[in-house]
Amino acid sequence: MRPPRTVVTGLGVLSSVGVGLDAFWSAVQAGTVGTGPITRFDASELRASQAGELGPLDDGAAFERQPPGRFQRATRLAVTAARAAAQDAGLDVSAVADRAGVVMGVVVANRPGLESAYSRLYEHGAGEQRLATHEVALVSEAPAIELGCRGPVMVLPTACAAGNSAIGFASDMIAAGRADVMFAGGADELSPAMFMMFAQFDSFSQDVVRPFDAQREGLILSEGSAVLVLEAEHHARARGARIYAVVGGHGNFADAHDMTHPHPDGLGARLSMQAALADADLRPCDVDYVSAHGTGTPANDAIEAKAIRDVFGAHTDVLPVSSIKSMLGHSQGAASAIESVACCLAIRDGLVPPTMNIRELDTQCPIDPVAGQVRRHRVDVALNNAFGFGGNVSCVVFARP
Amino acid sequence: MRSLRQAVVTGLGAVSPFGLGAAPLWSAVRQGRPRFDAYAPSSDDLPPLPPLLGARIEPFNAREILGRKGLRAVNYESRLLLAALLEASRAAGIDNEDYPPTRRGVFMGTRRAGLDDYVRFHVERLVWGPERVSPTRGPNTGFNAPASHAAIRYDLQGPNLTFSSRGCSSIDSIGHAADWIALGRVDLMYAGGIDCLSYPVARDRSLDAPANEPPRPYDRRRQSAVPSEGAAVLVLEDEQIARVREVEVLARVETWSTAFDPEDPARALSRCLQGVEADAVVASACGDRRHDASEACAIAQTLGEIPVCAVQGCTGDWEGASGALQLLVATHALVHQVLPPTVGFEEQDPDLPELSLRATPTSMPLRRVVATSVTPSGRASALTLVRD
Repeated sequence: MRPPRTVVTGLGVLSSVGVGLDAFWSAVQAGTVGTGPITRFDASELRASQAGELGPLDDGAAFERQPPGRFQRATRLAVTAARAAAQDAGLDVSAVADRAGVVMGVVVANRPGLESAYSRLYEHGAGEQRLATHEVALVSEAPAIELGCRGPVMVLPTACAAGNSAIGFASDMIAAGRADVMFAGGADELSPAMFMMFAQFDSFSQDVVRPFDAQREGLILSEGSAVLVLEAEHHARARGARIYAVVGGHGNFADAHDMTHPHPDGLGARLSMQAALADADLRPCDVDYVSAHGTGTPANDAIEAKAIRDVFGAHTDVLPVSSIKSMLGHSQGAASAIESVACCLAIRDGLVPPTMNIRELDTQCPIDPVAGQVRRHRVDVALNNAFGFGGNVSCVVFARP
Repeated sequence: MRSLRQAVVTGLGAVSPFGLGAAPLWSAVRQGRPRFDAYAPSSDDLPPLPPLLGARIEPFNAREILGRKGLRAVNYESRLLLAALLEASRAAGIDNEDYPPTRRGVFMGTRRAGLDDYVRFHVERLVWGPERVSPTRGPNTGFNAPASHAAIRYDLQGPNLTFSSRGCSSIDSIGHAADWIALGRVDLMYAGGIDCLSYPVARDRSLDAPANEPPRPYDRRRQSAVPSEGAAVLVLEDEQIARVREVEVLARVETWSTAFDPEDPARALSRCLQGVEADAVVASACGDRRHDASEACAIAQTLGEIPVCAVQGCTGDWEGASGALQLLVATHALVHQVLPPTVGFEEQDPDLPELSLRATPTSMPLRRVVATSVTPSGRASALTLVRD
């Protein structure tokens, strides 16, 4: 018997270009750049000036069963996106509670709040450095409690591949019959420690993110979250749900090369893209859009472009490849979850998001980056790439239902 | 129906307060010889902590075990994991010729990986200023660092994931690794868990009334869990390949399930144990009042009068690595046909159902052993190993 297909029936997103599905998608279509001067903390002593921030968080309505003040920001972002996704799916979880789960991808999750606690300890020699609210598991437990999910509840902290890892895990849970509904996505908040690290690595762009540009300088960190409601197809059809896309397949191969540098031949990227396509029973020429990892760092973009060409061959010439990180910045564990939302909407609307801020395409990046303007283009199959520190790679294929 | 591909356990590795290797760990657990001591993790530039009862890993020469090269940027907990993984690989007789790099992967469970490095990274900034903090240590602040270092050092180009679900983390990493082998995505998986008793953990514990005696799983007088640390790794591989390699199959992964019930954690574990057949339980009870109560109720309700061993009475609380510890012990129990004692249990809690616990190692026929895990937050997982 074939395992059930996994379909996407609900989307929730909080991003630096817009909070809420419609705000997000119209900003992406308009090419809105959401990165700007850092305001959430004092970055004066760091060699970083830009971030993608959400602004004040209005999440009171998302919390019905727990006081939001009990949680760190990453958990609150997760709950808000999960609530929005459930509403978008029109799903009453209570009817399937034991068969519904949550899986979230994160990088730092609830740890940034520890920094001020430990600053106080260092400066005053005392203080309450409790770990309970910084527990990473809360990023999945708090949404599960809000929505009433009693199935598999998991966090996959697989660096910047985490959002896609979570979608892959959720799809596996459904295919294996371990769940009928999974809320899958990612959430992360801004962390001064990560700003310090990337600044010291000289990885930041000082103005905007320019993926695939000849003069690109680097990335800009951002915060955000996104959750996709994934359902077994029979479950979604039985309740007459609107279906955005099918999760066709996913691939996960590690670079096994270096903690910070991608494999020079894009090994993990190539193998993961190929595995995701094979899992979806599709050929490279079936793909209509690639949502690139596209961080804007010199190393990532050139190697990703090479890996794409290795996988797609001549089809690369007619394949739109774009990075919405040019607008949002890099929202860490949330990034590939947000990009998955963009893939689903690209399939729905026949629109490919642009890569903004490109002045001159890098000849080392021989791809079509959809520079500067959204493109009308039928998308039946979209491939979403996500790569992380430590060589974590996860690629997911979405297809028209 | 058994699927064509099955994940079997062919090697074990560990670093524990009992020393380097799975053997000293099993020996201590089998004999019920704990090693708790008063100890204070320290951190440069942060106030000293009062001594805390716990079980800690003795310093070891990582270069001697792992080789001299390429260790500088590998943090402490990742070194522990690498040592456990290397032992497991050797125990399974893995010759890299047997498995191409893309067919080998690693899934790790952890609750705290990177926490100590994250805090140190931040404090160094306060001490030295950001310009003088080495960024190469930044990636060690991530949860995924141990699994990533393992992939890099041992050329594991296959799947690589890190799981975090509190005490269930490494039952989940091992269960999911078995799923991936059954699906044919990979042939060989190093699956397990890692967590350390670091300064931030000890500081958090010191702000409560920390335990002043070793843990008493399920006991009427139990107070709280006693912190500990460890790394444990199981080699899982496709059964057919293991048979061709003529390596001893220690056990086979039969079932894995996980559930959540914030109102009644016992109910979540009962759901995981529905339909499970087993001859014994290697349980997660750690001496915490609520944790142990949930687990005892679920086991009694679903499995009845089954022999139970709560291994963390001897080892202390391994947090995210607990499940890997339990499954390592379960594998040894199957191989040696011995269920270890539950150290620290003396007096039945009248509020809990009576469990079949032993004060001494007990020989008994064991074909199936289930490892259980439950957390007061409502998580539960269970994984059954069978020895054919």
